[in-house]
Amino acid sequence: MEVIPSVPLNHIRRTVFVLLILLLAAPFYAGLPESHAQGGSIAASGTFSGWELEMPQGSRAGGLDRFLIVFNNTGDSMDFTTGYRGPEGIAIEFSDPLFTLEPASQKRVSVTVVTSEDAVPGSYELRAIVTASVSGAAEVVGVATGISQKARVTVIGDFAIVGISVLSPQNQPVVADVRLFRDTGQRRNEVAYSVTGSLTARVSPGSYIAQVMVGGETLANEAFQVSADETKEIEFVVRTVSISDVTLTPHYRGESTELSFVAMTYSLNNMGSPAAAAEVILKVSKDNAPFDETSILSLDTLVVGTTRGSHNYIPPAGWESGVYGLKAELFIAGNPYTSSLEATISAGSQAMVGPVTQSPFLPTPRAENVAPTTLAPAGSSTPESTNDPQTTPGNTASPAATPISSDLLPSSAALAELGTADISAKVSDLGVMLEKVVLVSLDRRANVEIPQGTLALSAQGRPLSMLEIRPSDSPTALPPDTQLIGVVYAFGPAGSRFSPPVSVSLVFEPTDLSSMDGGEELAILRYDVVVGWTRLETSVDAANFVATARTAHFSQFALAALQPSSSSWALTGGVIGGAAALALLMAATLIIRKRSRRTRKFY
Amino acid sequence: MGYTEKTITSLGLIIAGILGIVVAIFVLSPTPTVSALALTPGELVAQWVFVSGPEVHATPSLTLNVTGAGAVTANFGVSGADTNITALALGAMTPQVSSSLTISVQDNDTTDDTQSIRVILLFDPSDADPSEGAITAAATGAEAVDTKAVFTWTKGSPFSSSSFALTSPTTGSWSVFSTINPTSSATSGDFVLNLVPSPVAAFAAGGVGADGWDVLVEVTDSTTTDTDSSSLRDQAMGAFAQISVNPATVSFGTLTSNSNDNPITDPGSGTFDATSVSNQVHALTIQATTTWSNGATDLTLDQDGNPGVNQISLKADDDATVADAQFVTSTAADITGHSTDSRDTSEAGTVTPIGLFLDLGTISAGSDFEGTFTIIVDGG
Repeated sequence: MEVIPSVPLNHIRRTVFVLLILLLAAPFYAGLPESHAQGGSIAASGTFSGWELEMPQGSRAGGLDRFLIVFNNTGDSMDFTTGYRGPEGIAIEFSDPLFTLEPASQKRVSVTVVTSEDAVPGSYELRAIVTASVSGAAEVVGVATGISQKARVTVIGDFAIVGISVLSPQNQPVVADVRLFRDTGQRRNEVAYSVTGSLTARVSPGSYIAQVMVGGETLANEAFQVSADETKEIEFVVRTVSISDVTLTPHYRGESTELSFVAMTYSLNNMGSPAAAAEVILKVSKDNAPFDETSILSLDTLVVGTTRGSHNYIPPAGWESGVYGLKAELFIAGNPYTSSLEATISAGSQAMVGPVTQSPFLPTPRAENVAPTTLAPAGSSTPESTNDPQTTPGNTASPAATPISSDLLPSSAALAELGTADISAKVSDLGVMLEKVVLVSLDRRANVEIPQGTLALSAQGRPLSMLEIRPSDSPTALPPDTQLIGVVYAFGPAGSRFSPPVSVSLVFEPTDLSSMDGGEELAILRYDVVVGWTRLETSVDAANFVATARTAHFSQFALAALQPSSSSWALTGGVIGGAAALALLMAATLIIRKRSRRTRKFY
Repeated sequence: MGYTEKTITSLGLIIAGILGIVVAIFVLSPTPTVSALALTPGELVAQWVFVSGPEVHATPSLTLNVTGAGAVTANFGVSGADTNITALALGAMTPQVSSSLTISVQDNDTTDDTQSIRVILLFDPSDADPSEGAITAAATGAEAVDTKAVFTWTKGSPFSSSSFALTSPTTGSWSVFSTINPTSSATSGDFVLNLVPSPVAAFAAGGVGADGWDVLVEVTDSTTTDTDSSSLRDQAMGAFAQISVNPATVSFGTLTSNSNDNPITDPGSGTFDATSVSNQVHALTIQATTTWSNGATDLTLDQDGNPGVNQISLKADDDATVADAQFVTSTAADITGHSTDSRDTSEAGTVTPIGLFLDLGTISAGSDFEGTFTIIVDGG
């Protein structure tokens, strides 16, 4: 009798079944991420980098489809730590914040982006960071490694803009620490900080406190509220000591482009009371690293008023190729009190700029007014009193006073550009100027000066990427009772907005005024498509033939002689619209002055 | 009677039956009487029954031979069915991670008729969208591990052993993770290539107007070749970064208080090497721990170069020149000159020797102060 072996048949069936299951499962298995990274290193791959996501406030995005694959290709067990870098209100949650990987292994870590309810709308860079160190390594001077990947997060929702500036009574910017806190009722969360005396921030609607400090001393605390879409500007006018009008004027050897020395001028503005034992230290950086410092002025008493000084600087070992930054720091009684903004100048093979570099203008006819013709020896420093009525004698002992024409000069140095300027690299993602920009028209008769910290947005509310000044192709006719001086300039892009307002200056020639009978008034006009030409509050420097006004918008600008009958024009002062009047709680010593929609406070 | 004998008997009966049927058809069939020259296509169709495979869309080839008075014999053949790519699908690509490319093929001759498949991946900067001809030409051009790769599927015997293989570049770590073949007897099915991109496969955001990868697939059967790339343009490639340092520990030796610019003494070169690989423009950054300790004393990192009591400052430079070294802070900062390093085009990556310098403030004698520098490849 023949027996068919049943066990082998069952075994075959079982094997076939298992193979079938494996075959069916193969596609799913094959799609799983697999490590193939190279040896001797840590590595990260994944789908986070380049991710562009738009999120409402208080939302989450990501999860399984956004991940990092982290590889340990070293021969050691490695401890990995995840982290992130981004603005307040935006965070990353990792599926495994801390983990250990054995040699030649990898891990998939899911990434979730979370925005808080008070995340400020805007577009931001967000970095996911993974760092590694050898597990249980003995403490040594170790060199650890890490990987970071970058995504872009746009938070959508309501926001407001707050601009804070600190000014002297003469309207000069004052360098001060400015801090902006969100007041939640239970606590204060710092949302913005500036050491320049000027701050512009996008914030979510709510209650805020602005604080101004100079020399470690709190000068002002101000509580206020902002609502959605509001632009609020707050000016603190402080009577303190500040350094302003810092200018650098390069001087070259003969006709060469070899830098000889840089003449630095500055003003000490003491709006308070006399201060004992004042010293100005010149701090020099080179390529953003501390480089040199030297005392350039020492006074037994810093008197009330404006004291101007100059110093001719040469590096101890001579000039080398690079970018030098010069900043004056004021010490009172040995303690740091305030400093100027840093002014920069390039040395080396790059094209050297002329002696008018630091001017907001390139007024060739009057360059001699900017570049001193009489200079003290290199390395010397000279203080000089001005004819400020508040200045008292005593600080003017210098026999080698440097003639200074500083009223035309910016409060900090910047390279002027002609006609058009690509400023995309000088504007943050939020539209805040990362450095000062000065643009001069090709005919050198018009300019705009945009300080660092200014919010510069296009008409569409996007960060400005370029600037332009040119004679208008189709100038709008001025009102009948005005006389155009020069030409109408188009400042572009049209509709660009600035907070705080920026300075626009127009040059005129003495001959431009020859037809005036003396009763007219010079003023800068700005064209507005709704109300037509608007007169701006204008200061005229008759000695240097320059008129200056502040504006919050770009449009057409013209310098005009106004007949007395036209004096009924509204003074706008140049304010970004939208701010509501503030009901401010003021200390008894404060003076409140409301100008249009801007809040100005005196301390 | 055993199984074998029964089987042989059954097969014999079946064969005999088939032969009988064939003979009967031959005997009963009418003899053609028409002149071949007088035949119209309609008459041909009426006279003959074409029997072919499941799909008859190829033009029949017909040969008629006059063999005698009034007698015509004819024979004909039908060319094989075309192969068609009906769909392409690619999972998210990111270097060193397997991604699935699914190639859906339809062939009425069954997928077993597939002879070869070529897959070309080509980096397409700024979404220039090269023509399929240009992609094909690029595949045969000079190899570039960062911008193109070619995979070829070759039919094996048995069919199930068929597999994809990397044919270009011949160096580097593009690779095939696995191949999945369709059922050979089916008229449609999916060929799946699980591919692993090189670490330096250029990062691409993908999408219209941006850098992307274009994928062209050619499927050839015994008769035709079908080529498709239209559905796989502008594909994204994820970021990849890799970093190693050598050595991973350094020493400044024994120093005196209030001394500056002390270089690394071990290794003797004064530098350590950071080897980075990145498939996108990237920065090389450095940061240091804020507290350096020997267990008894903590030193803090002064970040602007003026270390005081129990403080140190650290400087780094990519060519170990102290004159242009930068201060190291606790926040990652770009190493000067390495803010926008180009993407690597070679898997060997880029070696950057980094020198470190230590400034000491006023520090009491102590030994074995320890801390950590971290070198980070900052992508994008």
